Amino acid sequence: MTTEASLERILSLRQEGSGEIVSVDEPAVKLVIVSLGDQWFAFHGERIREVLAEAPVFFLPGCPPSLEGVVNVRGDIESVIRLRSILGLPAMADGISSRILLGQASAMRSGVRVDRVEDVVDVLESAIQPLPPTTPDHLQPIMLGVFTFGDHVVHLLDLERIFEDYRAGLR
Amino acid sequence: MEIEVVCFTASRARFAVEASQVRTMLAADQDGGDAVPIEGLIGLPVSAGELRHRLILKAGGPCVEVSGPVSLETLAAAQIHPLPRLVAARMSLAGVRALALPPSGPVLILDVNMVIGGAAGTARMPPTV
Repeated sequence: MTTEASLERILSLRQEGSGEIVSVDEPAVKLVIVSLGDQWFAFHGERIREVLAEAPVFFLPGCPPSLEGVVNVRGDIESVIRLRSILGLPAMADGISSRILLGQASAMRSGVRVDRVEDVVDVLESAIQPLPPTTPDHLQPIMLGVFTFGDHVVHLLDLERIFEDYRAGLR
Repeated sequence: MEIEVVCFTASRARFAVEASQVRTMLAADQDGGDAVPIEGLIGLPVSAGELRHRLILKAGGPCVEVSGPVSLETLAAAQIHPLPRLVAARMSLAGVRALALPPSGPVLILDVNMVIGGAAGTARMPPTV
């Protein structure tokens, strides 16, 4: 006897607690995709609290060039680090609008200056591939993998490791 | 809640110490005994050609020479923040205890004891601009 699939049938199986229904959805992760010039990167969405648009950044003396300054986020003061500097990319040209991501790692929080926020997407975990062997040695510890999004190759960054390395003076 | 601070300039940035820790201020050409540039104590270059003042601290030690304008200001507690962790980890200046963000712009609040400790021990030699 053939059992037809129907909403009623499915709901009935659910109510019976039957194990016949198996989810075939692949696990996915939410990622925030950003760009620095023509290079694209991503952070896990759970690490990004918000995107700050026009927040003024206050310079502080005695900080390395990669530390842009501090920003006032509704009464809380957060540092702002330049992702370009951390990745060893040249500084952005003056006058180009950019964004600050407010990133949250387990033990610390900071703004991260990027050129643009491209998209927030759900990406299948299986679509994230290991780093190619051509990835520069100094970047491998802070990159979790690589995937394609449209025509772009996107490197997934480890914000936790970036913050830890930065605090330790390694970047 | 609020505190009074003595604000001054060093290397074109604004700094402050708690007013309760400052005995008085003298013009740099008045005789106040030995004076140490604040820039040398915290690790900044001394800016040439600026009007200098001397702060005499209650903690004793040498006078601390700073650039003007020197002003007595009140900071509300809501304007005073601990240094963000990445700033605290990477800032090279000595003795910075907190950061205030009044409408006039950021002010780095110095711990007098740490600053004087530098004067009593191994004060940093200020680079020149």
